[in-house]
Amino acid sequence: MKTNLQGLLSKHHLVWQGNAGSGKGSGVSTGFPGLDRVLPTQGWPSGGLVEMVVPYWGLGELRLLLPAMVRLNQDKRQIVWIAPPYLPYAPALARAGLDLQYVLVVDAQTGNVSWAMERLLATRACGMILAWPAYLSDVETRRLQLAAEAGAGLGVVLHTTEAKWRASSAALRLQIHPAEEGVTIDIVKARGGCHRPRVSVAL
Amino acid sequence: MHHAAQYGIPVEKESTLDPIRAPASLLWVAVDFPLLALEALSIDADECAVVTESSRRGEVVYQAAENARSLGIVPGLNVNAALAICSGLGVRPRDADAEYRHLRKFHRWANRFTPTVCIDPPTTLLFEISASLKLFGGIEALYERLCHDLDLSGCRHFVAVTPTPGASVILAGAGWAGLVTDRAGLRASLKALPVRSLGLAGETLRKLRSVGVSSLCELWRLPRHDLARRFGPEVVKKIDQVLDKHPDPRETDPLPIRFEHHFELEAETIEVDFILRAVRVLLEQFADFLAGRNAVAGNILVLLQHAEKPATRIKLGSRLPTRETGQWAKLLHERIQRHELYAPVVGIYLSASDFQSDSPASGDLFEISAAAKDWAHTLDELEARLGKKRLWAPKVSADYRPEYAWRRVRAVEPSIVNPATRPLWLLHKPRPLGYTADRAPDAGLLNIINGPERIESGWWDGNEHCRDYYTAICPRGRRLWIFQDLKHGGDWYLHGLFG
Repeated sequence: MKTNLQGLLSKHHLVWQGNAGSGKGSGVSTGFPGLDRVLPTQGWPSGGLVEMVVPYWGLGELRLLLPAMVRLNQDKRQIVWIAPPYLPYAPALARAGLDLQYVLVVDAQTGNVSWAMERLLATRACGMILAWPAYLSDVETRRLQLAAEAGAGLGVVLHTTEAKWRASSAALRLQIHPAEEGVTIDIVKARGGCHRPRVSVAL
Repeated sequence: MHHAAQYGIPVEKESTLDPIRAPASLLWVAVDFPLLALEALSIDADECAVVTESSRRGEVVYQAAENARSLGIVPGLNVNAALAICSGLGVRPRDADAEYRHLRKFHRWANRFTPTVCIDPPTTLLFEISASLKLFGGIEALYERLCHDLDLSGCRHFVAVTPTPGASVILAGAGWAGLVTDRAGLRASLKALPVRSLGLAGETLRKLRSVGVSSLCELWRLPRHDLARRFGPEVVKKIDQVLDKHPDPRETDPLPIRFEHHFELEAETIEVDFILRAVRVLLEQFADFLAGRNAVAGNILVLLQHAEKPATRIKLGSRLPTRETGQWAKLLHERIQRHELYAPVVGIYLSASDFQSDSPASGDLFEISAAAKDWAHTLDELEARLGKKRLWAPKVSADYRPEYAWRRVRAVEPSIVNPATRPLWLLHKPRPLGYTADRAPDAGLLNIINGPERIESGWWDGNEHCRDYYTAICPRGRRLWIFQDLKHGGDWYLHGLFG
């Protein structure tokens, strides 16, 4: 009986439960056991939005996401890059184990980044959708989180530092810092997690 | 009253001579336009006007509008006599070209229902619809649809549907409108019509009349061998063709290779919803056009016409060639939103010339999973809104120089790219075959056995391609890989040999 009630509540989003993780509950392993352990979903929240705040590009943000990308890609799910700041370099992607048949780059104009991401989150074909918007309003973030919950893909929004202290409706919000061997990650907000640890990940 | 029997021609019982066989399978629609000459010149029925033609007796009335008719101005009347009756009479010479163009318009309309359409001069359009019945919900529904469309056109018409082209033309030409699907009904509706409606030579007609044959049923009751002996085999053939006892092949006019339709808005508008509604009307006509020829389209062009400014051109492409109205409307919606209409729209023009057969052999559209379809549609929508060049997939190239070790390719759903046929030999350079856009390879010389496969790419390296590749067999038995270059004028080239 108890499980039925639990199931009903989580299925219909009737009550938001602080400790139940995001709506879908399940996660995609990040490929870094130390990080998986501290995340409430034991990995990236699939069917959720991740906001990653990075002081500058090239810090290790892609290497951090790469194991999950490869994993999702193996299930023939698309990895989409929306408005990336540089060219995703095909030889390196292939070498990392991505099947390039399932990689798409969308050079969306500034005003269209959020629209494109929302549209892509709604399709079943996408595994991970990464976006580098110049700016994202609260309303847009909320819409994206809802779209991610309705769909099956993992949405990742990458920001530089300006947007750091804004309230966010994303399921997971991370702040990345450079570290000696890899990165240090502050979990600024995690839906379903009560403490906000800091983890170091060797890349 | 004369009767054939009086002249020694034995009359046989119809039932023994002509047993009714299995129900006919073909259905021919004849649409006769009795006022074609007037309508082609845009003369209204309530105008007091006539169209004239030259005859041995000088200029005579060929067709008279209702108002002129009511004054006693009838076809055949000398123009001077007509002017004496009504001095304000509008007189226009007949324009056969305009009449033909007018019929061609209806030809295009009929193409929405079937590819088998021809013009039966001077005033009749003829088309065969048996293959389209299922698609349009049965013969009654289709007949109603035809009449409805024709009523909307505002042209006077008679629509006769029968199992033979000859009977349909005769009936429609005689001002009969209706639907006959079996042979018994065919005879019933034809029997009272005069023999001259068969279009026989004057001499034959005179002879027939002299033996007392004036109606069609009097003619078909006569034994065929006597008929042939006395009046020539042509008469027998004609009547048998009309009665569906002798084949009556009709040459179908070449298909228009383009779909072009126009929608005039009642008032100019900038409202996207109004525009989309009008586009939907055009798209539905387009869907019918494609369904009628079992085709799908991968590209369409929409022109939004403005009052005094150049039209807005919107090209739409679909990864999965389709005839679904909804998908095109969605793509257009994205595009219009992006474009910001720069002036109110007064009319919309939809055209397409790039069709593919929807047969299972070429494309296996039904094999594509719902997920793949969804992905293809998503890509189309993104492209429609963002622009074609904004979507790409990275690929690895074999080159040690970093900037050449990769390239962009057009994003497609992987499962749509079928393991394509590629020849073992590739020519160093494509060799012109001497065929052009107007002159496709002759079926006798090059038999196309596979294709087309559209290969389109290269905008990023300045080597843009848009080619339709085919596999063909030449008379010497060589298997060739040929293509039509759609980017540069539509010439045909040989590109490879299958070895």
